[in-house]
Amino acid sequence: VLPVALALLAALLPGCRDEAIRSYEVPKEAVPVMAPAPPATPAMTAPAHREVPHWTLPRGWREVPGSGMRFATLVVEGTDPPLEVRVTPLSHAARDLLDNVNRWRQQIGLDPVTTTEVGPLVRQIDAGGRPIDFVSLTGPAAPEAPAKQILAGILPGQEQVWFFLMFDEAARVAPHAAAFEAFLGTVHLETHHAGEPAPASAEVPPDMMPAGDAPASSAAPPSGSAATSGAGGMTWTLPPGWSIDPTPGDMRVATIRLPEGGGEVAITRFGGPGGDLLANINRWRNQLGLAPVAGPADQAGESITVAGRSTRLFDMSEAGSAPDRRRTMVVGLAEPDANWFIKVTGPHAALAEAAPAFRQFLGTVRIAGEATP
Amino acid sequence: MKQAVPILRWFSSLQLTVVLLALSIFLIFAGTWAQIDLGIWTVLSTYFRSWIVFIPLQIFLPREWNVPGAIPYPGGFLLGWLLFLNLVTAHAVRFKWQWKRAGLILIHAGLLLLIVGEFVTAISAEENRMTIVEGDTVNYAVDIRAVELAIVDRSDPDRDQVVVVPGSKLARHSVIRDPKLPFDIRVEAYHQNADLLEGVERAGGAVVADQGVAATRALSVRRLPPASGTDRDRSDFPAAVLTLEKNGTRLGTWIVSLFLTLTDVPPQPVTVDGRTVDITLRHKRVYKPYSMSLIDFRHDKYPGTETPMNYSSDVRLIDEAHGEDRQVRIYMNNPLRYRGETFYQSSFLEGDQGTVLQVVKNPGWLLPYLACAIGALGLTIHFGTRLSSFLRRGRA
Repeated sequence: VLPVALALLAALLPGCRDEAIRSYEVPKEAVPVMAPAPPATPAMTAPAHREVPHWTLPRGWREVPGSGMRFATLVVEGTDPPLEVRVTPLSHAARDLLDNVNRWRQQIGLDPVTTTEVGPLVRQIDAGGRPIDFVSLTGPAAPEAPAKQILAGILPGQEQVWFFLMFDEAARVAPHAAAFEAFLGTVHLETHHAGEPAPASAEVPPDMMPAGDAPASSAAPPSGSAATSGAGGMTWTLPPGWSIDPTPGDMRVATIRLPEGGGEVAITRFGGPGGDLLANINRWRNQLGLAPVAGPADQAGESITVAGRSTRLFDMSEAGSAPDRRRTMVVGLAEPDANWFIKVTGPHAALAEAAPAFRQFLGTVRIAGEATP
Repeated sequence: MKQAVPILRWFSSLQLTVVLLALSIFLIFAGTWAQIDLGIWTVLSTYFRSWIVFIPLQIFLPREWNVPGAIPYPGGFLLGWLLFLNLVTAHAVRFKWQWKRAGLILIHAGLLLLIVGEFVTAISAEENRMTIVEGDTVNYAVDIRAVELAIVDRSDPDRDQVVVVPGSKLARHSVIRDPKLPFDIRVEAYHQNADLLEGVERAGGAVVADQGVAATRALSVRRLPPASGTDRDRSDFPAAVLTLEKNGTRLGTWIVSLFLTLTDVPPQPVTVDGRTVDITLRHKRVYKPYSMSLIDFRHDKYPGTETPMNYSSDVRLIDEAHGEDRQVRIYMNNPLRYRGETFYQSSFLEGDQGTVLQVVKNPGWLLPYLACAIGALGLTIHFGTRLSSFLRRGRA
């Protein structure tokens, strides 16, 4: 009996082998397509046939179109850097209240809560007959980092879950908490069918519109103007012929187009100490097909003063001698909690011509809230 | 045989039975505690469907004590097979084969079959999920407990060329090379459960990826503890940071995440040797030789209430190889059985837009029924014999 049993055991031993890499062919499948960034008009349209939120903006709020996964960004006017409400639809996989609350708590330095503790943290606001889960969380203040606050609304729709999120320093968020809550009360979802134009998501009743302010007006100055303009807490004066792109793109504070396709200036602001200057330098080098450098000092550049800060204007080009090889010039400006990067990219020959204008432009850059040089 | 007798005697001893049962009880106890930190399926595979398990001392103690160390312990497979051997050898060595013991022998035969049945289920059962939106046709199910990195070449207008790397491989290996792959994969990080942080949420965390959606949105990955058996409605979202290389040349670093896939972020393009392929981390797919279209999903409620009365899916089953093309209604407690698989009405999509079917394949599904029937017959005979002899003694 024993040998039989042992043989049976050996035969039935489940394999501890690695699963294999497999290749196969399947009939063509549909791929999810990222909705293109909607046009920067007050009447923001979402893909028709979908469920779209509508709301009434509180006085002094402005809507700018979203991009990527973000449906829209609501900006509180007069805040610098702009205080934002992010409106993001996610699949129902992201709906779990406890998960979301604990993720936010972790982000502002609070300990996670359990299923039974999460209930009292959430309040339901009636929004057009549908309940929105409202959460307000404030983190602890530390000597080196001010307290952060999150105001969040979660609205489960038929197709997706809509997240409304205001996340910033508590001192900046708190004064707008009442407006945020009132705003959530105005949110409602409507389904639009293919071919039917989706109306504006923001409805600004005349009595709530600040005097002289057009609804959701664009921040971009008229193309080609030499007026001072700015975004996200930075101001500058555009050289003649340069224009602000009304759709800056993901993660960018602003995109500025050089005349005649001569390249573009990207202005970004990344939070976090250090902002990984070296990582960014190597990322840009990688985009040009260059090998990474060991430290910022190894990257060719020149010393320059921008917005009162001594920094370096890095200059890098694709290998070769073709006049249309790509070239990037970039400066990094350190702030205590973030790094600004102002980067111009374009064909080598065009940038050689535009370089003086870029330096002149850098000379006009100011970061709000600080002494100008 | 004479030499084997002491071994057989040892294997057949009642003391061994008691020890094995005690060990089994403690294994169940430890496996229950382990579900505070681990998901039920992880516990099932590491504690009960394994030969040996290292039980962390921490699971019995408050988590804030942070106690290291683990005790090696026989896993469910080992204990099950030792109990099997114990019972078989007991019948070979100790028990006498007599008609009056037929009931006991049948009870034990039922127990042995139960052990074998569980083992067959453990090594061969598959449980997947098929999600179909109304009007769509699907020819695969997904295993929601496993992920795979899919590398898809969509250049052909009719067919997609797919190479899949199992998530278990990403978890175990730091470099993956294979002739089927268009590039080498260096796994910088793999997390069974992870969060993606964006912009200000990163709080200084380094952005390591310089390609794809992570680069455009400045995403970074933060490891999370896996969803545990005590978490209600929580599941893991695995994520990986991958550096892709071709002939030693770095193509870049990407972040792939199940969360991105489930939130309909499109697969990320990678250009290699002049052609573009997509990469995505998705639930493991199991393709079927047939397809199913969802004609209609019904979610009936009791009038005037939100209380569900019935869920049902009208599907069209198409299997060209078997000449099948028929309409089937699948509803609660009325599954479809086809090609050795059972399709249960399991769930539905938000807004009743589609159905979720549980697709179960278990070659050993009949064994527990058979084992119970044999055991019941054995119990009837055993206690029937006892009762009749008791009655006979009473009359005497």
